[in-house]
Amino acid sequence: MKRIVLSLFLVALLVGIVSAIDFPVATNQYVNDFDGVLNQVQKQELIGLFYGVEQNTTAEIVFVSVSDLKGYDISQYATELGQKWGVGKSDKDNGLVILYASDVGKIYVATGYGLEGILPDSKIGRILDENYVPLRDSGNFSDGIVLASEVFAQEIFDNADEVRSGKAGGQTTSFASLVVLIFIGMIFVALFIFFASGINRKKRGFGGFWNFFFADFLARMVLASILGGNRSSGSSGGFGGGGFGGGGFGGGGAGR
Amino acid sequence: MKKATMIWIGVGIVVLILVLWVIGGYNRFVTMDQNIQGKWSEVESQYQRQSDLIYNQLIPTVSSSVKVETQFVKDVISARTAYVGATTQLQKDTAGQQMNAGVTALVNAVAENYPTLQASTHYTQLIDELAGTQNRITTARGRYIEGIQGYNTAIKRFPGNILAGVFGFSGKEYYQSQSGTDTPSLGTGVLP
Repeated sequence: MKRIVLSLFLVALLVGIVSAIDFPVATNQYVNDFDGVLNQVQKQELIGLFYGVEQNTTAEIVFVSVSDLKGYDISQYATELGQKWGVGKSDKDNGLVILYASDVGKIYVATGYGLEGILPDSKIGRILDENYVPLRDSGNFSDGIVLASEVFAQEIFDNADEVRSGKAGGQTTSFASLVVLIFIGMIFVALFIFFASGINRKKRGFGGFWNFFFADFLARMVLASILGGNRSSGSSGGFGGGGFGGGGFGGGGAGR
Repeated sequence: MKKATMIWIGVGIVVLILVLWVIGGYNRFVTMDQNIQGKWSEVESQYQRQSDLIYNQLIPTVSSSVKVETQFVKDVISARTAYVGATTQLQKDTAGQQMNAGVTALVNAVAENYPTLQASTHYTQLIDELAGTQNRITTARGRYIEGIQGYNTAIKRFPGNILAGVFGFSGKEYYQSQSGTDTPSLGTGVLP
């Protein structure tokens, strides 16, 4: 019986591990050509292009190529990758992920929340149809990637004001409350430390253990309850690496 | 200060900490609960978008080429009707997933049998919007389920379970059986 319970537990554990996509770590902020589908000139062109977009509009575009989607749908992979890396500014969610997956030979462009307005799914599809598909069909899909990327960048340039301002609303409130909570926590910690050190100086007999107990344990407890409460609420953002701004993705985009 | 005073101050601090912990824990559960509700409303708004796209665009567009009596079209319409009439969360989710499956079956059938419609720009754009909405539904649904898993873990783990018991927070169910892997058998009709 014990063995069955144990193996069930292990299976549950494994299922939990398998269900999360194992994303690569970003090595560059603009081009992560993990499968090497672009040549050096194309890479440099995209890096320069995306750098210009970020400098002028704050929007973050990243091109990613992977050899294997590990069985995931390309649209889900691109969305979750954007969310995990946090492509786009966190208060504007103006990230764009251009993903090419070699195992399925498909491209998918995922929009952050803040770009869904200027780049609706149908428009992305049309841009890919007009710029990427013809080159892909003639055997130059990497040229197609570069051409389509230029058009996406142009769209963002053309709507720079909207992209810069970001969408209305957002998750700024949770940040403000976090600051307040940390501030309160620091006051408590300072009080405890002050109190404990006060005892120490005036009355030796009370014992170092209790002073340590109050100062350390209580401080830890307050901090843990404050930080612990906030950790669970922040599912958006996610600073995965590569210097992205923490933008969120809701599943918008189109692929070919 | 006297020893007795010190002890009382100590007891007072411990009580204060306990009270803070209870308040913090309670608020944490309330926040998580609100979070989950917010995540569900995102799922619902995407289902609603799907439903609107079906009613306002998909059915009018395909009806020019595909006969409305076709099983594919019938399935999509009936799934949408079920969604609009659904009242509980489970009903909405089930009908919403049926809408997704129905749309996918219809779109695949059109791709195979109606090259002219398939090639039209308007139809292609519509398909992109529908596919994007389906991806948004999958994303929002996944985050909703994740939220529930986190909440269920939090109220079952010690010492949170004591607080959850005192304040009556109970575990939430989610609809794992309709996760999209076992899609209902829709779209088996014959095209004219």
